[in-house]
Amino acid sequence: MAAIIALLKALARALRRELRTFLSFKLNNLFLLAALIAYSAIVSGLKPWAATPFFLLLGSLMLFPMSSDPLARIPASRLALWPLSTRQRVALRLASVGLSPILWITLAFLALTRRFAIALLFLIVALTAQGLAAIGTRAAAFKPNLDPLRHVPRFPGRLGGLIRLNLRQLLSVLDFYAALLLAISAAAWRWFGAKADPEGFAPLAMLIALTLSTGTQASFGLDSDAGLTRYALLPLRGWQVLIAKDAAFFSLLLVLILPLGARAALGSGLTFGMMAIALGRYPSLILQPAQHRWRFAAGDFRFGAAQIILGSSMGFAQFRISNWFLIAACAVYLISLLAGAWYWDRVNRPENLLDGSRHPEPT
Amino acid sequence: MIECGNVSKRFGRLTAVDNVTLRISGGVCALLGPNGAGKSTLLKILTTLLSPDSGTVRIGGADIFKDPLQARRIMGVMPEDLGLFDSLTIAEHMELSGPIYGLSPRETRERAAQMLRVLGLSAAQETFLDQCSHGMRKKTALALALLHNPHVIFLDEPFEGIDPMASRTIRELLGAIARRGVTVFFTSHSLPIVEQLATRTLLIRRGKIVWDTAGAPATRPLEEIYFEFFEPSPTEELDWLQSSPS
Repeated sequence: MAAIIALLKALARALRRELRTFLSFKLNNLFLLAALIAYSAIVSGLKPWAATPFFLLLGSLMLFPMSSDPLARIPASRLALWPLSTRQRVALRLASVGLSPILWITLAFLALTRRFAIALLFLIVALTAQGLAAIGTRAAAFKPNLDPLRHVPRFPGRLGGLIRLNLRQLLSVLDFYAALLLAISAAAWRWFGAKADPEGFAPLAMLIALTLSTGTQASFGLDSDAGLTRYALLPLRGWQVLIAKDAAFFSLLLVLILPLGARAALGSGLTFGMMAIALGRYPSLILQPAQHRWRFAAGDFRFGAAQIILGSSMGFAQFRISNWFLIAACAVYLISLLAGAWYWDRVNRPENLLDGSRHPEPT
Repeated sequence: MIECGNVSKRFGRLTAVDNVTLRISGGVCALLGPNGAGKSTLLKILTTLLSPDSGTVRIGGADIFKDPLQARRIMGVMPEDLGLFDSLTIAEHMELSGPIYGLSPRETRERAAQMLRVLGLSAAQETFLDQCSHGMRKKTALALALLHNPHVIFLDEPFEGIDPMASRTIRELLGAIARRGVTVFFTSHSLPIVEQLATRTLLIRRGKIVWDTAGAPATRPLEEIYFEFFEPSPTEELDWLQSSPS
């Protein structure tokens, strides 16, 4: 029994640490927008229904990583090697279910509302999400070509390989899937909606750009220390490294918003995108917020708010007033690229790697 | 050619590299020393990854402080952390690196295919790095270091964690490369491999080069010389490990 308790304690600790990574959504721009909408409704004396679809979108995507098997945190080889009897293994399996965050959420919901049907529905949805994720993972392990990330094309040119790498990183955070769902819904509304109003396309393009925008604050977040070492070794200037990151973001953004029409995509959507990258440059290079795969991107609150406010202001101004705002956004983007490139080149010169902070351990 | 003069690096109170001066022109040079002796720190300094507190470094004639890009262009490096991206496959790493060093896509493809075949990675070339074994990751990093046919090669512990067949292939490959005039500098813990491969051997202790075969070629076995400088830790404290298993 002591062995099982020790294992469950370690498992609970690992899960607690992992749960912190789920909290990244709190500093995600889509969540900030939803919170702002909800807050505005509440202070106006209304019920915050307008924010509900956004919260549902965030919550439903988080179900996929959240509903995974708690026991999967223990390396399979380690679990197999521990001298546990079959009874102990069964006990561990059953007890580990109690550590699932999905179970706690369901129990908390039940305790607060006593609505069994909804709690049961939530459990079924979570288990379905887990089933789909498990099937996807196994299918990709069995037949690697089934992994969609494998089919990200290599772009031409000297930086083509880097653009593919960055694109693949963007596809491995949940922001992309939220943006994809929004883009599909928006395109379906445009093409099949009986009364699709063209005035709505530009705001939708900006909403999709906003959903993707948090990642621009953590664009080096998925490059591990080893990846940063490779960047430092490559004979590339700062602007080349940054342009490879930006090209991946812009290509993904354009694929998602072009179905809304060239005017909305190349106008407001692109204006928002350029402002988002320009404002995300400082945190991505200097603050370097942590980023985890299959979580929502998290940034810095100040820069997230600036991206939402300035990005949408410039986007709406481009849409309502003049294309000069697109040119202004382009200028802001270019200034951020030059400043970021200057910073990158400075940091990656050997005489400026002052304290070895990127490689702190002497061996 | 690797030239460094009076290079020092401190981490707080620890002197990781202490006033090292070296001039290595061609051949295979091995840097030996126990963990924490300063091998990897010196390698990071020579490969532009870490700034020394003082001293000068030139790689192939390029001053790494004045022209780091030129130095990076002419060197091939396998760093301590291997410098690989988990979300790329082995083949995609080659496709990423080749064009950055000026190879055409066709040249990159051909060289990568040959390199992966020689290193026994052909069958696994479509595997993502986060699914590769340590040995496969190491071979990938080695392939990346060699792909652009560099003038100077730096390898941090290239033989550790590699199967004997691949180890032999790598030894032969490095020997052949060095005979063309390329300078190969590597760190290792494997004394037999160093004895077989290196044309020059350096011993580093507490950041100082304490022995260098450039001045006086070794006439005794390397192991004997090594243990003159480094004493193994006593094991008496672990007497419970020497009693019967519980």
